[in-house]
Amino acid sequence: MGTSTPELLPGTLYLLVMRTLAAGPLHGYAIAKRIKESSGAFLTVEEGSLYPALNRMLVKGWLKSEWGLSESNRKARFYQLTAKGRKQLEQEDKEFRSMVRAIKLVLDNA
Amino acid sequence: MEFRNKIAFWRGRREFDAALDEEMAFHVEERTDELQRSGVPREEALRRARVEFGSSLKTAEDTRREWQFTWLVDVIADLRYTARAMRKEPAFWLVAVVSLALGIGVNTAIFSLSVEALMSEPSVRDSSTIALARLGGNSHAGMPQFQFVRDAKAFPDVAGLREDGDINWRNGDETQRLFAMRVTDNMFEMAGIPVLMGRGLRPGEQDTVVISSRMWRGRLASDPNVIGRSLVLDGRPHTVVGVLPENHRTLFGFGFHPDLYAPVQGIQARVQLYVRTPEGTSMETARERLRLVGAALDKEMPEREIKYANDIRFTPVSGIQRVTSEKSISLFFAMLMTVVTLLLVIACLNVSGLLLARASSRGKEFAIRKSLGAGQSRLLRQLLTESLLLSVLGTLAGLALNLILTRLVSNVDLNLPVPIVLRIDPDWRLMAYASGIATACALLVGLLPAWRASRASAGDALKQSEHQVSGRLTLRRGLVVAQVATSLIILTTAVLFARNLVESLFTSPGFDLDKTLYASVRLVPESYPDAASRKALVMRAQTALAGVPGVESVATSGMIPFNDDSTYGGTIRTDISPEPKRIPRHVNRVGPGYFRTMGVPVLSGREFLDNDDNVVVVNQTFARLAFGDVPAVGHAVRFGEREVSIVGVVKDSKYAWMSDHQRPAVFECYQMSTGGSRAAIVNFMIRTPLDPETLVKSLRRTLNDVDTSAAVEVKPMKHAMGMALLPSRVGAGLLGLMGILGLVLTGIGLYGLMAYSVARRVREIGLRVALGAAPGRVLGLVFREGAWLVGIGLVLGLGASYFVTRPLARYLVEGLSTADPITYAAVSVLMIGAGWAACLVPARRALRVEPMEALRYE
Repeated sequence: MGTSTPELLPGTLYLLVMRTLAAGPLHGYAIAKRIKESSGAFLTVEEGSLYPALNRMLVKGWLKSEWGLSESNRKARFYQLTAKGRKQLEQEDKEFRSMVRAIKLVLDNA
Repeated sequence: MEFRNKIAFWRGRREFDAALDEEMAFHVEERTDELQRSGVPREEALRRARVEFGSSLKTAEDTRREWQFTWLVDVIADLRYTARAMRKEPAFWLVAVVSLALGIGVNTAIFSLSVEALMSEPSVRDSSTIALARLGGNSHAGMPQFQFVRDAKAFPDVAGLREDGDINWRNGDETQRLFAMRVTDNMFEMAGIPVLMGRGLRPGEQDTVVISSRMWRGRLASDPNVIGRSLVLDGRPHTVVGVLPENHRTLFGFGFHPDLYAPVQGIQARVQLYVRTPEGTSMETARERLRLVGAALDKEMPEREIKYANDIRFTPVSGIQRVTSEKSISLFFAMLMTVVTLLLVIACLNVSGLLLARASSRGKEFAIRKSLGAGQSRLLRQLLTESLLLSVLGTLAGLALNLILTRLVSNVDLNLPVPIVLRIDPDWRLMAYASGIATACALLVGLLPAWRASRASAGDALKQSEHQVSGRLTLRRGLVVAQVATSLIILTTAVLFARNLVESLFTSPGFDLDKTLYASVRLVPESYPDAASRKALVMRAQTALAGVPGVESVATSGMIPFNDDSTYGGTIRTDISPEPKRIPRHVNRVGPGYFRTMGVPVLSGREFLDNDDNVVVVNQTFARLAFGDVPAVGHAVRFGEREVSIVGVVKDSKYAWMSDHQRPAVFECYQMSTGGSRAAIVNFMIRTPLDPETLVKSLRRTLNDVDTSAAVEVKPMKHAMGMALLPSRVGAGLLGLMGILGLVLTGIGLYGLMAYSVARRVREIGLRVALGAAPGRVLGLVFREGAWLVGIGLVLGLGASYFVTRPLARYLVEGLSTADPITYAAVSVLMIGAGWAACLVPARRALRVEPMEALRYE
């Protein structure tokens, strides 16, 4: 379970997952690992939220999944961005950046 | 997209579960491999990976939920769970559903009754565009005025109706009096009244009638050839042209149910005006049109006393507006509705108490579900689902009860002087009301236990056993106190009416009830075209009656006490003061010897003599209000333009209702009225020293001999009290029933609480017994608690009743106030008795507690 890692901002988990998948299909474990590494071990995605989130995005049609073999030669489920997901990613990416910029402006200047 | 995906999931949900398990297992394995690579031993790595992943059950549950129509799945789960609970505790569910069914059944039955009596939909085409029009504040208009309004063409159509017409039917050698609704010949066309067989009355017809289905099935024995059959009515053959359907409701409303419709006779008749308003016209526009017609009428037929254009009233024949016009009736139904609502509240409190008891014994179950991850809202929803299901079941059972009750009411014969039949059929209003009630009950019943459950913490409940859970029963006690208080209000109302009935039976009405009879004779109007011929007949009948052996005296009377009423509201002037006074008064026309016959003492002055003119007799209250301390006899009173002198003052008595108390009354000297539908009715009051019952036959025969075409009714006054006692009878009957129901429900509530309380304290009681407590002390434990609850409820309930019952004063006889001490004592005794009975079984259970068993009991 997550130790004392900071809580993700609400709604950002979808964004992080989609961004991670933008480079190509990955299985769940790899997604979690990739996010952790890319954040310099700062962010840990809890499994308890990762799988519901992945499935939520499947329902919404942002992702699709298929079974394949992992590097360790095990059967694994690979997730992949759909066209709809890519559009969603672009939009959320843009919104998030402007939000961060705005927050930063306030923190610096107010 | 989402919807389609979810449906697809629903089909492949089994494969999904397997795949998800596989995916999660893969996750853990990968992590184990990684840990192992970093030097952790295999066993330890596996353990750590599992711990890091957390509860795979919960993750699977959450993941699956993303694919489901969450609410639907939850509702199904809740219902399934509830159904299981029901099978496990049938007694609880039975008591709860029966409680609700009683409350809801009685409540909706009274609702149906009130709606039928006050707001029934008349059997016409498009009732929303028909309205009752009143010109110049008069309820009825003359035929010339009717024709004028109709011909003014301000409205698509106008028809007239006379509700209190009688007609004599000569059937073999018997003459029966029927209730006829007189209508203008265009009524059936204008209103579009549907018929079962044949057709409606047509314009230009004189001697045709449309009969009610009751008349057809009853008096005409369902004659298949009834259409075209000839009935001798008022001495002339009339042809039956149609039969009304069973569920026919008149435009007049209030359950008024005539035997037949016949055309209005003669130019003298006065009718209520019913107008058809053009589609889409607002009531305001229609009223303004009517005012213009009234103004034109004022020009055309000026009257000295009234201006037609003033006081224009326009009442739709259906819907809520009717209700306000009949205050006394509406108030009576409002009271009934209040009482049944209270009854329903008691029932709900009962079920709420049961649910609370169940919730506290379910504390453990809820704690377990909570610690397994059930959300707060999930548990609340479970509770609300249960109460909703309860109230839906209760409502369904209640509606079944409603059907039985309303069927009973529909068939009750009220024995009234007017034909009233309330046909209660379940309709959309009942359904709408019942669903509202069901929702309200679900909330009322479920909210408290839900609120309570939401505050319970999982840890505490798990640590304790059921018999230690939450020491306080404050909430349930509060509910029982509320029940006691509420049922006291109902009981007080019921006992007040019962007392009223008893008092009414024993209170003297102010005249000799036991030595008088009345004879009501309805003549065929056409046989007596003028006042002289009618007067001759009255004289002949009076002489004949006086000659009957056993008759002491006979007098004519316009109205039979307790069977008819009239109130005049206009101002009066006396000759001792120029100030006009408003004294609303009962007015009757009575013949010479009336007061002697009735046994009403003449306090000063004299009775009427033959050929008295321009004199009146007043009662003492009228004399006091009009003249104060000045003796009234010999003084003059002006009623409008007419000045009369007072020749006598008589003692107050009751006139129309048993609740008449110091009601001003003015008596004028009896004369045959010159017109109107009552013209043909002659009433005689007869006094005898014998048992009045023995005279009925000879009196009837005597009157029949005077005129064979007249319809005669003879009854001892004792039996003519139908209308006077109606409010008390209906009130005492219905309310008594509800009072008992409320008492029983409250008793069940108290019993439940006490039984539960004793069960919880088995260990304590056992310990006390083991330490040598006497049985009396053990009993005291139980009864003291019960006494406190009933006591507090009693104080609150009596206090509330004192205020709540005040508006009922108008139905009560003189001397009986709504703050009647006997009533209050009686309800207190009843309630204490019920409380005692409710404590009895739990107390005996407490007595039987075996110390050793109790201490081992867990």
